Amino acid sequence: MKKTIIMGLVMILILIAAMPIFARSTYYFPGDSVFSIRAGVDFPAFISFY
Amino acid sequence: MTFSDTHLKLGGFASLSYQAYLSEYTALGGELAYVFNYSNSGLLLTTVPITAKFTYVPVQTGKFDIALSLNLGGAFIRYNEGKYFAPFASLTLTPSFFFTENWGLGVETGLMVTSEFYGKNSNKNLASAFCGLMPVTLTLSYRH
Repeated sequence: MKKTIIMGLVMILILIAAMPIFARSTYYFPGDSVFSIRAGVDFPAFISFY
Repeated sequence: MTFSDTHLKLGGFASLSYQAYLSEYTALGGELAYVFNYSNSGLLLTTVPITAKFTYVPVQTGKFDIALSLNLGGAFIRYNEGKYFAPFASLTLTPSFFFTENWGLGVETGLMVTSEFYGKNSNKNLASAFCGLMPVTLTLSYRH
């Protein structure tokens, strides 16, 4: 189950990363800049000791 | 491993970042964040990551972007009386909708990982540890 979820997420990331191959539209130019503010919640996912 | 194994409760995340585009698809900059979680015993865990942020934007229509970001750096961690400066890494995915030419709103989520390393010669009798946190945030962006 865990492996299936991880494989699914990896596939989604690969598909998103490969999107420029299918749709080559670009909006940004070198030198453009972005300022961002983020706020939200934080889920504790795991802690492993060794 | 389940959510409850961490002995932490749902917390909060806030950050500021600035990035400049190196090419049509990639941007590089920095991010300063503040993260907090309370433990089940009521103690506060705070994490202040200072990172370099690399972003790849494979989808960019002008109105809608999807960005993948990798943050690498260090984090000031404080838990009860303990303080530690830890290596920090995160990988996030952000779909954003730009409602004007400059302003956009997105949802950013991913995985942040910090660690504490104590070797055999450490004078503290503590175990080394990896900690994974998953932020889910609203991201307000201004681009120009």
